[in-house]
Amino acid sequence: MTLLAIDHDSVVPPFEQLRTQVAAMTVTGELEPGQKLPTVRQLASDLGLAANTVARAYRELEADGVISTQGRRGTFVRSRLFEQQDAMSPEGAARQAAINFTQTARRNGMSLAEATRLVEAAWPRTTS
Amino acid sequence: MKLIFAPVFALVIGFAFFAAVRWIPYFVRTRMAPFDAMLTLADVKADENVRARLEAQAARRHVWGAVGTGAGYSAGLMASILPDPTVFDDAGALALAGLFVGSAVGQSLSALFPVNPPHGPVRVTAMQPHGMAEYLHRREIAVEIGLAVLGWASVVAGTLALTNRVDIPVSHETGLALVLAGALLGVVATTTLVGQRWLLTAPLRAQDEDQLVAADIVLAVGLRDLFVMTISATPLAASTTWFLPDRAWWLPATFTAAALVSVGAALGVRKRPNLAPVAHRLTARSRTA
Repeated sequence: MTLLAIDHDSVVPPFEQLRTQVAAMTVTGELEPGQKLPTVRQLASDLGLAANTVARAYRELEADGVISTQGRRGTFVRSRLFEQQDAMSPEGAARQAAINFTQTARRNGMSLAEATRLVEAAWPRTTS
Repeated sequence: MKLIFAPVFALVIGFAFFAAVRWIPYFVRTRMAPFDAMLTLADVKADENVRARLEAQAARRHVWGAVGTGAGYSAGLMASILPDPTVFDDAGALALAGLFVGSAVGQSLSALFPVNPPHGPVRVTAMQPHGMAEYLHRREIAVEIGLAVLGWASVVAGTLALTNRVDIPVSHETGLALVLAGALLGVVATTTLVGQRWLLTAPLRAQDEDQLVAADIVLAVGLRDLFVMTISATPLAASTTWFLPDRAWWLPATFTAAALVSVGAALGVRKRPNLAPVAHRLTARSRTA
């Protein structure tokens, strides 16, 4: 993938098109770790979207750990180096596993409540 | 009588400049040159579709530039001959400045109006920021800001000297020269900074990759138009200080030094991808794909 494309006539909401494509671009390396992303306002005007739509996609991508917002410096693709260091700690490993699980659940169209129920069901079956 | 004759004279001369730039075959033939230069400098390989879009945009830029040239010359000439001629006795310099500014502003503003705007439901982006730092070299931004500061500081110093509000040890002639050269430099450099910001905050709208590449090249050329305008204005501002009688020696020295620095910055432009970062990135990927 080279370009991010938003189809305004698609049945998939624009924020979801934006979110999934940015996530895919980070996986394929099209967006490199540490790369600066456009501002919410700029991306919204380039794609003909409302600023709230882009802001929502960025919020969800940040919650998924794909991007990070660093105050006034801007929004960046999360660094692999940071992820590797983070993954070495027990909390970091669990966070990464949670991100992977969340992405899989989202891809399969599950809601937060459904995904949480899966974790709750799996919790007693696992040992520490 | 002068109030009627001067505007008519200025408009006729302005139209003559418009007609010359619009229809002289040399200008028509070379209208694609800035786009070709940008493609080379930014290392962008344009395919036929991109070239066709750029040629259409070059035709529009040419017309807007011609209108700007005529309008700028008329405005400059009118501003110099309507007021008291003892204040603006250098009509040629002011009209010439109007010509440069009008031409560059007209050409650069054409970038805001693409010939084939995107239609249909799909919009594409390369997910790349397009701010000042992404397109302009740090040295170029510093030169533009420096010239604006020098220009407006000169206007303030000259005004204070002319009005005797503060005891500044400069002659009346030096004060007048500070105001004239400073205003020319300040107006041009500020117009450049505002115009570039305007171009960069405008949406980079496209429905396919070719359109995005072409839009990026058009934006980059518009930014260069404004940068070149400032660089052209500095020797002009310096030259207005050379021939004024009874001005302090440091005045032409300062403005000439500013002109040399700014021309040096313009000549220092070498081949670099970030002149058109989106176009370079997209075409580089399609070459390696």
